[in-house]
Amino acid sequence: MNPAWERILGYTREELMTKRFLDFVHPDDLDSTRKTIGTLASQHQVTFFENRYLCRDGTYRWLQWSAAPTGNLIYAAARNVTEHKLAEVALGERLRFEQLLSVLSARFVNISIDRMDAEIDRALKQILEFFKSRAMRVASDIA
Amino acid sequence: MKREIDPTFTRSLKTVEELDQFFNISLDLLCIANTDGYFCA
Repeated sequence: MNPAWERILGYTREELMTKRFLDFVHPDDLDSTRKTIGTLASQHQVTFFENRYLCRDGTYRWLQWSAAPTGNLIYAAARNVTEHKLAEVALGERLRFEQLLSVLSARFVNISIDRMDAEIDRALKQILEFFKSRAMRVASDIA
Repeated sequence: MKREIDPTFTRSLKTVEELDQFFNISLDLLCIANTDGYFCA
């Protein structure tokens, strides 16, 4: 293990060496990580794999892996793609919101005056709903 | 008795030193692990 491990995840070398590396993997990424180890164990190279690793401060970092097996050893290199992931999530949310706004504004084209209050009410509810579910989505994407 | 250092040995020592430098400055996380789930030294 090189010094980048200590720098990015915040653990000492000893802490990383004494535990199984699966102990650091995000629960939602365990299955895919086990599957990838299986691929490597059957002597196949893995050129692209992503999972989240627990840092010492309790947050997770997204790591993008490339790995090659030699017998029962795995040579692996990973880069920290957390910033990219967060930007990706933010961009996706922004797009979703733009889509919602265009749907809502289309409804107000040629609207009759007696429908106005009801449509405003409906639109505001949808916006509120959007932000509620976004908070949940973002939390599960990052955590 | 004078002992000669094998030039091949000197050369590989230099390669190890060079690799070590790259290993230490890399921005990427590099490791060797075993399929049992542990990191190796």
